[in-house]
Amino acid sequence: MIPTLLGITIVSFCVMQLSPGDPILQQFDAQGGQSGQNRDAYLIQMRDLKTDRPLLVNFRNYYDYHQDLEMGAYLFGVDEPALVAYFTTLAEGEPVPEDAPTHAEFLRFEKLLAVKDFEESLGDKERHEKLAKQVLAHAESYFQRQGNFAVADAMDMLQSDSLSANQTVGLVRVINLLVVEAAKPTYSTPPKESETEKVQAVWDLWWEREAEEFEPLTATRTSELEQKWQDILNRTEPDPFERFSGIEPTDIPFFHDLLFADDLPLEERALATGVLNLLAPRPLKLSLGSQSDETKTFTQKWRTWWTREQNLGRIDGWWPRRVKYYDSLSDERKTELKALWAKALKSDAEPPVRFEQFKPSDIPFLAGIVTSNESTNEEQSLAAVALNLLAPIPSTIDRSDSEERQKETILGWQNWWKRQQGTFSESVSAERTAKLETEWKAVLETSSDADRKFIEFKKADAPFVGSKLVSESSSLEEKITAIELLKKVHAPLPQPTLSPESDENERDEVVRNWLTVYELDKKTFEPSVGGKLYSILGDTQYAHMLWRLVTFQFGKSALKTKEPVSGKIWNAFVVSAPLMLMAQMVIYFIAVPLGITCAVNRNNLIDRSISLSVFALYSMPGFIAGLFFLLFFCYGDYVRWFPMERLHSPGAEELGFVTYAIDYLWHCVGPVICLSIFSLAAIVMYARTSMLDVIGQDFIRTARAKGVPNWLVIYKHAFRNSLIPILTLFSNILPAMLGGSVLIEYIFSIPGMGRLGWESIYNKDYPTLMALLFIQAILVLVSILITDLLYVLVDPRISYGDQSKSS
Amino acid sequence: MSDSNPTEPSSDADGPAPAPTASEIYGETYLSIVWRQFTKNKMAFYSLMILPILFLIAIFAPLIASNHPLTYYDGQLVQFTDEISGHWAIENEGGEDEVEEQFALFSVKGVSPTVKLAAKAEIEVDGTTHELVIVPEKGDRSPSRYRSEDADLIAALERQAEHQISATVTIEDQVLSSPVGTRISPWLRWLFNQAEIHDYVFNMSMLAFFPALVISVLWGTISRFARGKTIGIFFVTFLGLTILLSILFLLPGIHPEDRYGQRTFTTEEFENPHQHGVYTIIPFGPRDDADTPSNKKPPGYTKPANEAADTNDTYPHILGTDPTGLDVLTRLIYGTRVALTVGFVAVSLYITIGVILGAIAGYFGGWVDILISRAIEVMMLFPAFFLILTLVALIGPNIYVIMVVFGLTGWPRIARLIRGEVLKQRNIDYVASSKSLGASNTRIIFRHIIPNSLSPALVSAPFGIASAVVTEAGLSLLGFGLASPSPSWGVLLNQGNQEFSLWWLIVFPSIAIFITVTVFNLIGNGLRDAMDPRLRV
Repeated sequence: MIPTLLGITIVSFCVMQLSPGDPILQQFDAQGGQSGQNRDAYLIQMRDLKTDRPLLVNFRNYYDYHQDLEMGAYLFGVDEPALVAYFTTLAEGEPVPEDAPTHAEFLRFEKLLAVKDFEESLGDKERHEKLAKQVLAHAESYFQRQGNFAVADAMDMLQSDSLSANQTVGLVRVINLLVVEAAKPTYSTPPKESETEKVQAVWDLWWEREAEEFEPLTATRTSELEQKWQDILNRTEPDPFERFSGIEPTDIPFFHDLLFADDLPLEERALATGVLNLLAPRPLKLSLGSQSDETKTFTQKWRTWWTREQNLGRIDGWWPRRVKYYDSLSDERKTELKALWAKALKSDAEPPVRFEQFKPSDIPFLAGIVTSNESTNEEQSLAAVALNLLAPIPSTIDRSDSEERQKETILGWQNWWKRQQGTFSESVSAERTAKLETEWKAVLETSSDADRKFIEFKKADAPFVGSKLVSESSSLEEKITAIELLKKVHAPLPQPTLSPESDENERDEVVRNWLTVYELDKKTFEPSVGGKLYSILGDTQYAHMLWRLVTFQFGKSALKTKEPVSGKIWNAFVVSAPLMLMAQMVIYFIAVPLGITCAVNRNNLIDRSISLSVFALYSMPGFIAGLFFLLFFCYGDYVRWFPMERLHSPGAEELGFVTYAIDYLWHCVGPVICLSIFSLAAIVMYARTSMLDVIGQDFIRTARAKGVPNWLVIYKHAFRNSLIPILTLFSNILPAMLGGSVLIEYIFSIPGMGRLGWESIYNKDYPTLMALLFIQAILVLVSILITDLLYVLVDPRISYGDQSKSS
Repeated sequence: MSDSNPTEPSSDADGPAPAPTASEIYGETYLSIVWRQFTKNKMAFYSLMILPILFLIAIFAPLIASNHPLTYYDGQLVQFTDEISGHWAIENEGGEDEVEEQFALFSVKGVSPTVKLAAKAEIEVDGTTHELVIVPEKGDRSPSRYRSEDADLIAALERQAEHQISATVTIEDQVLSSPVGTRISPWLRWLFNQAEIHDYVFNMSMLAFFPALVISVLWGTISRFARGKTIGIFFVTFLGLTILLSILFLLPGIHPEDRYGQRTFTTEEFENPHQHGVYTIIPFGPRDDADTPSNKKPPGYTKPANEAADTNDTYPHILGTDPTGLDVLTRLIYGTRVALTVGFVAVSLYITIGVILGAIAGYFGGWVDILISRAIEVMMLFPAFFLILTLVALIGPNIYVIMVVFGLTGWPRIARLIRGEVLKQRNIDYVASSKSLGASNTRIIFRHIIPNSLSPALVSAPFGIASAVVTEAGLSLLGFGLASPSPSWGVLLNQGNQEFSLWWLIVFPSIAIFITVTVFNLIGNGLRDAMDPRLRV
């Protein structure tokens, strides 16, 4: 049993190795690999499945990464023109610049990256630009695959004084590639006590820096907040923005104290981090700007944010959390929307005009397009623009964005303001307005972001700022400022990119952040001697997969839905199992009597006609039977006795139990017939043969000689003895049926295991595919076990208890 | 295979035998017993008779159906004058802004895709004749535009008010590089230019068939050695010639190019009897019939003569056409090739693997046996179809991948059978005696044990072929097997499954699959009854 299980995992592992590699690299190497995944989704999947580890043996803990990291620090630290110039010097054999690695060093590193056609590209000056991109992509992928193992060396380098500014920037970028989710600002759901240390450390570091910026709270405000906190604890809205309404960024000290209070229960502390996370800007900054701000389109920003939110499980993703606030769209509206969408796609009007006819209630449709695998990039970006206009919280504004993009965002905020106006106070008093006006001017004159923070602005002042936002006379700068202020009233959206320029202060801050993170996680980054030894065999792709399979943790689907695979398979199994069970029942309850009838009436007309028709069935593949069934009984104008697809009629949930069951059975007829047709024929033939065998034996003759009536001979003496060979087939039928169900469920559109298999192959959902393959093998294994047990039941001579008795 | 050798003893047994034959001296051979038993099962025997028909259909598919005419006379196209209507425009070389060089562009209307205009034409405007050069278009066989940089022509055209032009165009054909005015045979050229290797090999086997037949009959009548072995000799020469031709015509520069796409006849020319091509019985192509597209037409559809562009176009589509306009009957016929190739290659692959592994496990025992037995067990746990589906989808859909994957997943069943048989055989005295004679393990396994324990593997071969045919069709139906231009039965089912109103895409391939599967199952039944009488029903 255990070697067999091990064998199953080995086969699954081998199959898994066939799945295509890094999709981004394939794109760069122009192999035409198109897997419908974006980089983030791929990375999440890779780290989830631990496919960044070596296959069977892992010596990475013993590997010295200093050289690689130096290369990485150089590659990611210089800008692209410099890199292209570096390649040119390499190609021409000129001496390289002082801080750059030598030719030999680079070639050594290049071997690790295995860039396609590297030598040819280096020889051709025209291709250097592409080569730089290619090398960067490969290096990125390489460091992402090294993961935690290189972190200790990287930290070692980060602490050394010899790093230049460029190298620091490059190294920080490399570390960002190595580590996933370094700083943990919130508890996971449900919160765990073990996380407290990390979360507190993050906020501690942040508070140390930011404490001066918050004025101590007045006693009245504190008591107010205490009351509010009790109120919040009792409230149950899942949307944090609603739940925490009325709390302002100036209240942060209160929540900071809550987090560090020792006597509070864990749930309250977790909630406090939630509030902090919403109110405070990014607690720990760990990155020095992204690498290619220009190429990061708006869609990618949106999608990155999306995948990260979902991956973090911080607030369970934007859409799933909000989906309940939206009624599902009616069918008419959906068809309407489809037409509207097609129109919007073709139109080239400005976004507000283009999406004029979309309402906020249509958000599910647009969110569907953004998250769907099937929509093109263009569609997704358009849908994101539309969402930005309609969604409750528009995206943030970035001064470095293009003007067009800024205008778009401003439009989004203007729409938001029009919708949300009611939630704020009606108007601002005259004195207050005058005061604000002067401050407003002062703010506009200052140019640094730091000063802008100090504007005295409260939520009650929102109408003033809102009027600035929507007023036609205000300038672009004013509008941007207004948005920034409004953002403070409302929780900010996570911002995926930072400005690429970083000064020394920023660098120092980030380096310190990283060192703190490193201290916190030292155990994982620098394992003990035992841990290193364990990782040689224990931290490999195969070991991880083995563990996942054995413990039935199948991870998350690679699709954007990120559903847990086990749930997906269970849902499909619940659909398939009754069908298979019914098919097995049909097989045994029809085939065995038929076979016995044949055997009893040996070689006469009954036997021949049954045998012939059964043989015809035997040659009829199940899917062809299915197609014929659909064609002749479900389709067309005359004979439409059975439904074409699915297992329930639309709206069947509202039927009573009996009608529901009848509806279900009515839908089942076709699939069950097709599932059972092949095995049915086989069992009839086997039953006939084995019955004939038994009938020919002596004890039957004896029974007849005793004068036992014929039917009693057949059913008492012969039947039970002939059952044994037929029972063996039970475990043979199941794999055939599981495999065949792919076709049958595809033809009948039944959302069962077979259809799931087809879908996961079609969508390249490898985690689901592997789990499915594994589970099917296990099912067959179990069925073999059941068969063995059935033997004992049928034949008392066989016993597994006592080895000496059984032969 | 089994029908070739044993014919000799059975035919000898019937007729008067003056000299003692081998069977009389040594007793009946095992194969002749099997053959005698096999012929008793009428259904199996008739199925075995159907099998050659399937093979003949596969081999001679190009003779039955092809859109390439066997021959046609290309003599009347040297020059012809015709009225061509179209419109003209004056354009600049460097886009709109810079006026570098002006040229006149003629778009010719009403050119059917089958017609290729001549490279040079002449146009008469205002009484003077000007030469036009064809504008080649990338990826398009039938460019429909001429251009001219002649300043006089441009001036003459600019004087005209309308951009519509109807002029006499004299076309002088210089496109065909083969001598104009001779018979050419596109069909023969096409035989050597196939998209898939299996199609090419089948075509070569078609060329080899008749020479092999002649050789074997002559040899069988002349030589004493070969008397009574005609069928065996036929198979050997047939296979040998096929392989020889396949290799020969793969050599660079030897096989002729397929230039059928460059033919130049138009509808009007068919009034001239010399222009008619001689077509095969069904004049439609299996995978790229751009000449005669009539989409989604039901069985028996015939293109009206006024719509038809070609002679072969007015021939009825007996079993209708598929959504891309290809003839279903043609695709069914060529599908036989795919089915038989997948079936035979895949099954012989997995029988080879299974027999060798099973024999090794059974003969050596010990840890080798444990290892192989475990592997067999594990492989049999995976639902075969799902495993094949996954592997094919991951590696890439392609007939060779399907065959190899089928071969790599099918062996455990065979290995288990052979292992059991070898376990029995190795304790029989002949093994001990050959061991005592000093025979090596390899020799004992391959010379003695495997031939003696092969029968269970052979019995399961026909069933395996049937299931390979079904599996291939299933894969294609799901869209992970072969894709649309490939003529496979499963591809037709896939197209039918998309749109049930095209019932002929489901019914006819299903019948073809059903017949093939039935034939192989019946043969398998017969073989099982003949080889293993204990199992006889």
